[in-house]
Amino acid sequence: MFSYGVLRLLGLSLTLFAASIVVFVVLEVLPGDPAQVMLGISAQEDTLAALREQLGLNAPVLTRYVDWVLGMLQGDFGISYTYNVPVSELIAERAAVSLPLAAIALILSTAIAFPIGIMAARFRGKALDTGIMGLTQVGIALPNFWFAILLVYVFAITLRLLPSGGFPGWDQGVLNGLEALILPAIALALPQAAILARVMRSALIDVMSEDYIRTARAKGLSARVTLWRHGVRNALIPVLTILGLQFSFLVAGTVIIENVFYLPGLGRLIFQAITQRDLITVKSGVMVLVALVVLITFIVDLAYAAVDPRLRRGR
Amino acid sequence: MKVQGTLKALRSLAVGVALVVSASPLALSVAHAKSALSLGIVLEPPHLDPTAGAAAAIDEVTYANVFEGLTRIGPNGEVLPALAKSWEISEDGLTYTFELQDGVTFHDGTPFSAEDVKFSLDRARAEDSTNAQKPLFAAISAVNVADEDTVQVTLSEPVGSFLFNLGWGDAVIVSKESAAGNKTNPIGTGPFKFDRWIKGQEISLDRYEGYWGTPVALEEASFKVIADPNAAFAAMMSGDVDAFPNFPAPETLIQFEADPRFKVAVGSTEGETILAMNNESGPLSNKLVRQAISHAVNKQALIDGAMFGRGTPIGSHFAPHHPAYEDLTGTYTFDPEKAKELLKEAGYAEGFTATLKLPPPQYARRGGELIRSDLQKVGINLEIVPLEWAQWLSEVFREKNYDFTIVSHTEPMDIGIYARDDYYFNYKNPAFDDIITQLNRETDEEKRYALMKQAQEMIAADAVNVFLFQLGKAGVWDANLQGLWVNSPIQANDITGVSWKN
Amino acid sequence: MDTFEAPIHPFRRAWKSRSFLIGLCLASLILIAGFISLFWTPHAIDSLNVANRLQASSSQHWLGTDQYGRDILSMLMIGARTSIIVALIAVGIGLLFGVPLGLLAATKRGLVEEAVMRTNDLIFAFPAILSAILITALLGPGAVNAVIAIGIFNIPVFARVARGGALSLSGRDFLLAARLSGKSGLRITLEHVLPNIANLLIVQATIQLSLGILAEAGLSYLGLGPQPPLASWGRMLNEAQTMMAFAPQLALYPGLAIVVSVLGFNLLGDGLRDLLDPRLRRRIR
Repeated sequence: MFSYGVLRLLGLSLTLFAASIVVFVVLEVLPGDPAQVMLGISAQEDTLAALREQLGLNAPVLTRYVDWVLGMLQGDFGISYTYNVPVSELIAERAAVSLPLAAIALILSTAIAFPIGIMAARFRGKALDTGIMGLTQVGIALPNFWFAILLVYVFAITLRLLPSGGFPGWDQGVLNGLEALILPAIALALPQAAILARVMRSALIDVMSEDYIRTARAKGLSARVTLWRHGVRNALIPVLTILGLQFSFLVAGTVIIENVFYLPGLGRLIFQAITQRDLITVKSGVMVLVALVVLITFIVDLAYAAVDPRLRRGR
Repeated sequence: MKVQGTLKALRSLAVGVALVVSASPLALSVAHAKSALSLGIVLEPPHLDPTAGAAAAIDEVTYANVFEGLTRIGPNGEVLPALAKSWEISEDGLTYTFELQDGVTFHDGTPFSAEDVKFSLDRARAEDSTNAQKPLFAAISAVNVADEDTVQVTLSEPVGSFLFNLGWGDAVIVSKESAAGNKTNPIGTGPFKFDRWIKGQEISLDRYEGYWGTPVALEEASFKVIADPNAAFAAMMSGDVDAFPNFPAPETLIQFEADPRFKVAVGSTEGETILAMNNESGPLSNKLVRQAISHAVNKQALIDGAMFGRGTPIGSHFAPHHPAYEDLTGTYTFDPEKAKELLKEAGYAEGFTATLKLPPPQYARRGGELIRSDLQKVGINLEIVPLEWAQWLSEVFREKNYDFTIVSHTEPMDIGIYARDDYYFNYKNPAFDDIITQLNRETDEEKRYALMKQAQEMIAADAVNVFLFQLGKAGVWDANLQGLWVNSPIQANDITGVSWKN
Repeated sequence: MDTFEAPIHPFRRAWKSRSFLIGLCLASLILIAGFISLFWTPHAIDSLNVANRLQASSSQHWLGTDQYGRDILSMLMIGARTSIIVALIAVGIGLLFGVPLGLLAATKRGLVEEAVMRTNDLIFAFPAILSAILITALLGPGAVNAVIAIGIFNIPVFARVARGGALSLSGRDFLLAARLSGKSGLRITLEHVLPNIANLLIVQATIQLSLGILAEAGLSYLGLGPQPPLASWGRMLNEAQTMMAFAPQLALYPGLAIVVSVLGFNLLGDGLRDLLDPRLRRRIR
């Protein structure tokens, strides 16, 4: 188990290293001059040159790459061109929105998916199952940004129950913060819940056909007790894998939803940085997200290996 | 001098306005009214130092609120005194002597003096300056401190608009001690001081109690960044923001107009929106072709379709609310048949194919679709290429690698750009350059206006660009708010006169 | 083929599979609409007429007109075509590059496999939407670049499915027999492995197709997809948003179109899985 972990850790660092090269190279060739974007259309050539020098854009490519990577290893993510503050500060500020949002969405999605999935498995083949499965299909097909727009119109504009968007900041009270995250979390959670419910159902059906479940039933345990005591617990393993994947999706993949609700999250930070040619923020931001995804995958893999010894020998 | 007279009149007007403003807080305190304002802006400023960036969003937060210059631009585009309480101009128009206000302090407590003026102007025109409007200061040859409250600025040549130029956000006065940190912690002399900035979300200001001038009614103000038109609509409707001075979704204004909770103020801007043409690119180098295109574009349909009626047709590169404006909208009427004839005459009876590169704003993206359809009807096929600002700046603006683009030129009084060498229109007309040179030297108002009219006529006749419309400004705010600017003579949200009424 | 276990009445099974039938109907609806739009739409959409804008449904315009006076039904039909072509080519890219890579990894094992799978991990590590935004920022928005941005993320998916499928076949009698008869590795892969994993690939392709439609909608919602005069559902939605209060149909129709097509292809994929390989029936997406 330990050597497997070390091996995977090595692979993880290699992936991150490769990713840093990809990110750096892509941003090297991105058209558009950050200095021009900052100074606008009436800037003079000498002003631009002065700013480029100030931003360190004139150093050789290799130097800049090495500086960037070494800096990140020491926790220095560079200074944002546009905001003029350390990128690490920006990322921390945004993560304080993105991570709770992802967490709430995940909790919501689990809270919806588990009962539904279990119910469907329990009544497998019955009308209830068919109905639930049909609904989950629709849920998966629902574009979350469209759903989000519908939510805003119903709950924010028509009923005026919840804010239409924006984020007051956690220092304005946890409740106010949470209130701002409810609609985005629902918009994100529903399609995820649909997927999760399907995974739950099929995992449960898989488990319930295993021998030990039959044994349990033969011992005289009721169907309900068997389901809860043995079924659900064992079905959780594949479900947790999906949860891991969904969490990394929710942290990194919510740009569109953040745009609809104008939430200052990580995705929007990078999206805006791309359009403003705040290259250092894009570089470091993308790397942080990649590291996060890789890390979550690693943890999921480890958890899997801990459960299933066969995997330790290789993938 | 004549200019002096007008300025004096304006000054007394400003005093009057100040009296009205100062009277209102008394009334408000009785009614125990709101004293906070939440105001929506479309673009987030990259930083908050107006002397080191061109982004209009910087001025939209800081202008007049946080930072002040020697002069300032008023709600209708007039030049008003600010940190300079008065000035004198020498007969030859080369020396300006400014008398400064007393008792001014920066937000960090440091007193303001003539030294700060010298520091700021010298910094802006220095060799290594990163001021985005460096040309504004190009004519300054020396800045001298006469005494603590008097500054003398010497020019190398007369600049007719010098006092106006000093009113730009790029010319605000900063303190030597805090100038370096202004990007993240702006310290000015204005009635509001910077409080905090949640990146990507909002910037808040607090009332500065040590302000030298008339105290403002608002105790705090937050500028909320809302780029998405839909989110802007939702935020306004749900009361998340009290005012949106430059509302990004003109199609929704009908609903605000119908709702008594809101006031919709339609004003003018300095944004001449044009279909810019590369005057050196293939068929477009032919004046007849450019004239044909000017006839082929249905401007009214454009205003209706892209702006939902919010825009004023223009016939040249000049703001309709300016006294020197000349109505040239009849130069090229919408006439596809005429356009076809002109194209035939120019030798392009079969039409041609070209690219239309569009920056992100909605007027451009929407207008682009309509113009594409218009030009298709006369045989010109446009390929639409959407660009981000960064790409637009490098591809279109710098490299001039484009045929057509749509953009709004929001700088005030910027007809001079047509005389610039190597500007992205690639328009070259020595006669026009002469007019602008004369205009820059001329200080007599009447003569200046005559020259401006000549300039307008010339670029219209040459059909340099298709002059589409003056960008309308539609502000939406809570019906209980008063004192917001209706027009946008400069891109700013001056909230110094804003208060809640009850 | 020698691996099919019980090829009894595949069509009867198809008729009995509800999801297959519903999926087939919905997907066909979108496919046919898109196909017809190649030759004919009720109205032309590249000639705008502002005077005609925002009309309600009528016999002239079944679903009304948009803010530029274009016929919405025509826009939806062309939008269907755009979505499907983008998603289809993106799937093609995935198949073209992913399958050979996956098969290579499965047959060569060792270092090659390690390299392919690590590259896979690398692509998976990038947040898909953000990367697609980066790619379009790099190459410029438009249909072709949207295809590339979506296609790249299909490659590792197909590589993984192909490798997994191929590995599950290893040690099967017919492969051993082929090897003993002296066939080359490439021939065995092409003649025996590929046909046997075709089912897996078809099912995955259907699913990726629906994901591709969703991705295209997302990209064009952000303004990074196909550009005008081409219609696209995502952009229609984006443009309709601010007009929702007085013209909700503008936001409703494209949203429904996306749901219908994604639902259609998902159900079709599920149905095909049941149909083509009963052993896979219990697996999920």
